[in-house]
Amino acid sequence: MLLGLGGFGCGNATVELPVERAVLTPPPRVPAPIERDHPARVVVDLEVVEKTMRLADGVEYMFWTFGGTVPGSFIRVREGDRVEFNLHNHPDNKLPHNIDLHAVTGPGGGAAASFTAPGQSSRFEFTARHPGLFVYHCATQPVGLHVANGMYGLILVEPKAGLPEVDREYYVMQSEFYTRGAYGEEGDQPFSMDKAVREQPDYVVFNGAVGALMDERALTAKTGETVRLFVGNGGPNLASSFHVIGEIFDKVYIEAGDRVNHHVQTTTVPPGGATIVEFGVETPGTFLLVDHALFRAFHKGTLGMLKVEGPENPVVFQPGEVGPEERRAPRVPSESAPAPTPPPLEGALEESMRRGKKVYAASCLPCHQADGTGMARVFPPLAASDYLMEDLDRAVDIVIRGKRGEIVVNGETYNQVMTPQNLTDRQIADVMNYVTRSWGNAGEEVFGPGRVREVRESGKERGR
Amino acid sequence: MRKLLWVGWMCWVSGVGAGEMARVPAGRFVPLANSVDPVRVAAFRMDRLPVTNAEFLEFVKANPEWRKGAVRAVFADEGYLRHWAGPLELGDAAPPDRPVTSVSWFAARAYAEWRGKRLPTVAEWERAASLTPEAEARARVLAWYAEPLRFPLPAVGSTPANEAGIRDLHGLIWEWVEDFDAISVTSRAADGDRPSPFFCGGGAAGVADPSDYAAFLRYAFRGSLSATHTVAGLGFRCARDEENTP
Amino acid sequence: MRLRVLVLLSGILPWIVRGEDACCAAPPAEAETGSAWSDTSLFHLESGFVNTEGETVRLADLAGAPTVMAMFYSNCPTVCPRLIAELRRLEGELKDGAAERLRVVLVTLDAERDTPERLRTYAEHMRIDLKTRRLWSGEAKDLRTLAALLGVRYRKEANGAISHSAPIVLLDGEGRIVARMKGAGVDTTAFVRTLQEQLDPEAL
Repeated sequence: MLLGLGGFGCGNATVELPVERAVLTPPPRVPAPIERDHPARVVVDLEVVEKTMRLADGVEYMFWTFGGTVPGSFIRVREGDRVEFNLHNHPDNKLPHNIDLHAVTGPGGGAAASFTAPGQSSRFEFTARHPGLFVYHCATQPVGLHVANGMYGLILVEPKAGLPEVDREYYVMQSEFYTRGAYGEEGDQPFSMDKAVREQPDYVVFNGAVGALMDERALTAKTGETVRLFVGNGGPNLASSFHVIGEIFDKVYIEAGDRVNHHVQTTTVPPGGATIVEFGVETPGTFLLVDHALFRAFHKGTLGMLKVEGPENPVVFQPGEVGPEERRAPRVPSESAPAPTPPPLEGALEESMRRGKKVYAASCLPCHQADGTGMARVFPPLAASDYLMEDLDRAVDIVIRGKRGEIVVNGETYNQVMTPQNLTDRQIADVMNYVTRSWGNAGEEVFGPGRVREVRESGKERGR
Repeated sequence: MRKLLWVGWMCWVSGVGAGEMARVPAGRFVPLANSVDPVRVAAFRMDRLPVTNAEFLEFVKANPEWRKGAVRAVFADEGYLRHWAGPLELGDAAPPDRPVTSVSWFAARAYAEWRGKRLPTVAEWERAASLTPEAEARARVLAWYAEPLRFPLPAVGSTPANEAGIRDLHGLIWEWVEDFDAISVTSRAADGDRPSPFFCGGGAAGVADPSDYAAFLRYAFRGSLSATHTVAGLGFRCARDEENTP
Repeated sequence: MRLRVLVLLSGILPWIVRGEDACCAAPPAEAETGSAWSDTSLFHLESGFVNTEGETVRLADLAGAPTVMAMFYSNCPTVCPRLIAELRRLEGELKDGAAERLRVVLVTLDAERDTPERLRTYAEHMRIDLKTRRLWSGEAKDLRTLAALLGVRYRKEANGAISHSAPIVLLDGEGRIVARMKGAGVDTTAFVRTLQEQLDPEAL
């Protein structure tokens, strides 16, 4: 320890401050707002852990993490606090690491003082002079690699007066991953430096993995509440066009500074930057968090959910008239009415369905949802779908070539664009086997790559 | 026929006899930072393989002050030989043919001295490493970084030899060098106030080849060390001046 | 037959020859536990250095009283003169005759050029009183070991200069580091305070 510090000349004006340990939370949780109205000496202990975790279904990646999560633990202090920062590098790690907190004014943002070999710890102190929401990240060379592997997080320095009270606060951080294999390619995927340099990621995600904020892991709120999102962008390369489908931000703290904008639809978050958005949720439903660079949202995983429960609010939003025979796709995927499970099957078909489920998760789930219910008025359901089941070749053709124009599914009209899916014949056969036997679809036909190829060929002949 | 056998046998014998160290010819290499001028490295000899648990065990048998539990805190931290089962017992996590790790710089040097050798300098180590084709070294190292550290480590000799017949310079363990912290000293006269090459920005501004991630990581790793540090992925090998070879 | 035996023996020869590499000293009968110094004492370093009189000295010779240590080299144009000036300034801040009890050891980083003779010349030139200040040299290997213990980082440049950090370290009478400061330009209050305490005649 002695050998690591440059000197003992630090001013001792802070010795009288009360000492408290920082509460760190894993994403998407945020520590509670700070109650005290005076500065304190806040002790932060953050450990770097290198670990393999899920990046997408069937896809594993070796992440380098702050606190065991990507993004790393959320740190919350108050303007004027004296922060004692202890960085620990787990002894089983392979690499040295450090930390650069954008909240720190000082050499490397703390990086110079926190360069730590595996099995060692380092300490530095700083006074949090500037309020705001700041990115922190590892700054060990090569920095691009350390960040690309997941070493970033957020530190909030509350202004002295605190932030206005809201009902819910959440932590969301966008970032990219560059893998040797393509999106969805299974197995342990190593980092691809070539793609990182060319700035062509395979994954662009919220909170470190595809689906990290989806379905059972969605953010939640109730109608009538105010929601605050602390949104960061770990990069390493891409800026985010942050938007919540179906919501307008009442307040945006531009670039997480103290200038506030109002009534904003989409706000830019640069890599290494952050923003704070606040909005009231007035209607129930599932609101998708996206990067409005749409191909990232739908093909690379930049999709999250905010599920809001509560009574309908027709003043704010009233859906159109529905006919007596129609099933309305529920906005909140229903937990009370599960689809009937198909009878257990053995052998090749079961194998195909198992693979198909993974293909579905990687390619179809963002729009059609994990339970096939799609999204009312937007994405047609596949669950108990008349349109799907009445012409299976047509369904295969749609997966291959995409679809545009009006269709009617279970009595509802949809008019969306579905992009062609870049899948092999076998993947399409697998996903068809899965979908046609799931969520109330009573499929009996068994798909193989041969059939898919026939549909593909005949589609070509028709010149489409 | 007998003559043939004799010749064959002698060739094999002389090959084995000279087997432990390889000659690294003199050459130039460009250091990553602090200088854009190539550095000239004189010819020297380097161990073909990292030092193994078995070899280090011999050392601590003869030198009890370097045993696990006995070593002074001023020469090694608490993690010293943490994967060994006991002071004179290797155990399952440290089989004999695996590289010894969790040894401090002081311990590595003591071992080298005991063997009549020394640690290689940074320049010598990087010179030896440069004898592996760059693309191959980089690929192996980046793949290594993508995996967690697992114990027991792979055996020494498990990665291919380079041009000089030296193995395991890439993708097995980090290795101590004699002047591991030399690179983190900046020559003020030359660099002025340029930020350290180890941190954000400094690296882009002052380094010879920013795309050589493998080298970057090695330099960064060395810069994070202190002489008493023991690290689970850090071992060493020995070197020797060329003149001393019998 | 004899030929075959010879052939066989020649095969074993390399191993015998290699055995020379493994050091020859037999292990001591018992592991020594009797050392007086604490686990963190630098006096465990047994290497010998050489003073300006050409005598062999060891760190353990400094036992019994605190010592301020720093590393330098005589051809250093900027950092070292400042280091020496800083040491003088520290001395000036001591009270109650502590300055008289202050012992300073400066060790060179330059094994090649800084011979004892060269260091004597340097001391004269820099007006360093060799009665209270010691200048040590040694083998390059041992100087590097000491540098590692003191936390001095250095590198020889192509032009012969040595770039180095210049901390000033205080060892207590048992060889433990009790205070450290950067060579120049920092607040020295804490260091001087510890130094004063260490030099208190009650403590000695």
